[in-house]
Amino acid sequence: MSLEEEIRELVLGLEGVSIVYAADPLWLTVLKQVGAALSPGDDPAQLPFVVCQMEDGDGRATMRVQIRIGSKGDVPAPALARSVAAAIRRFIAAARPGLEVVAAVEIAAIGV
Amino acid sequence: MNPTRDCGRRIWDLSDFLDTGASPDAEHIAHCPQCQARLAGLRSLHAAALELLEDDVASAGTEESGWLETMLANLRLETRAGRSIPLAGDPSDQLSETEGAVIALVRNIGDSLGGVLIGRCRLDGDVTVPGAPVEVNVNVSARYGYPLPGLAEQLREAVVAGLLVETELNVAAVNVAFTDMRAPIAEPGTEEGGKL
Repeated sequence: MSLEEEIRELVLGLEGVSIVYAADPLWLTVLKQVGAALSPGDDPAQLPFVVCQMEDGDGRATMRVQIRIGSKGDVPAPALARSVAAAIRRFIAAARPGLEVVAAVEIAAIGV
Repeated sequence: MNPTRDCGRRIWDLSDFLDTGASPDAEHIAHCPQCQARLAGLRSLHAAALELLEDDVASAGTEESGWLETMLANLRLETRAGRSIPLAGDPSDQLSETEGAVIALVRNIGDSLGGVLIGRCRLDGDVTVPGAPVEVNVNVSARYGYPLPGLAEQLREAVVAGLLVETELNVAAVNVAFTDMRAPIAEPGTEEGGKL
């Protein structure tokens, strides 16, 4: 299981999270599918739910984790975003020690 | 509004999906917040349409179809992701909720109150700046027979309470405009719903 899939499973298991949405808008998904179809290999492009990107952060290795979620409505959305970000940071700290983490959490639907 | 955030699905495509339960893009619809919000809006619209049919909408005149058209016209715009509303958190994090999610919340709150259907809904103010004053402007279709001042106050209180919990917006005002009236529900044994 990839890091992205592990983060998705982690977030789906958190209280108040109803769904993890596809990270990319449709146009980007289509673009990726076309790119995958034109490139060698048989693997189709996966629908990304979590995007992890390495960035340069003042000389320190930084991972940016981007995720879009829907809330059940039983946990206030701002608190939910904070708890999801904290859970992602804890998870990355354990899985990849020494990495700085930027958690980009977007609440895309409330009470779904 | 950032057009790249719109997934590009059309309302009538989703309406077909709602009717048939099948679509070549079912996987996208299942995971797209914009499509899910549009489906929720369509379900509300279908429920309202059924309610109107029960009230014999055919004899209700052109004003009834007017608010339906208005709601449909605004549905597509309002269920887009819209602006990104920042949320407080760890300085290294980037937390936000979408304007579309907040507008859908306002719509759900309003539609859950008896006698009210939310039509146009806008957040006026710079929602992208934390603490900036924001006015919530909603157009409402009300069912005849409900006292409008009380209904407006009930709606304001419910919207403010909901936004206080689910957002960090500085809500300066919730402005309610009653733009349509719907005929009352027909009483059993009466020929017309409009007779009180």
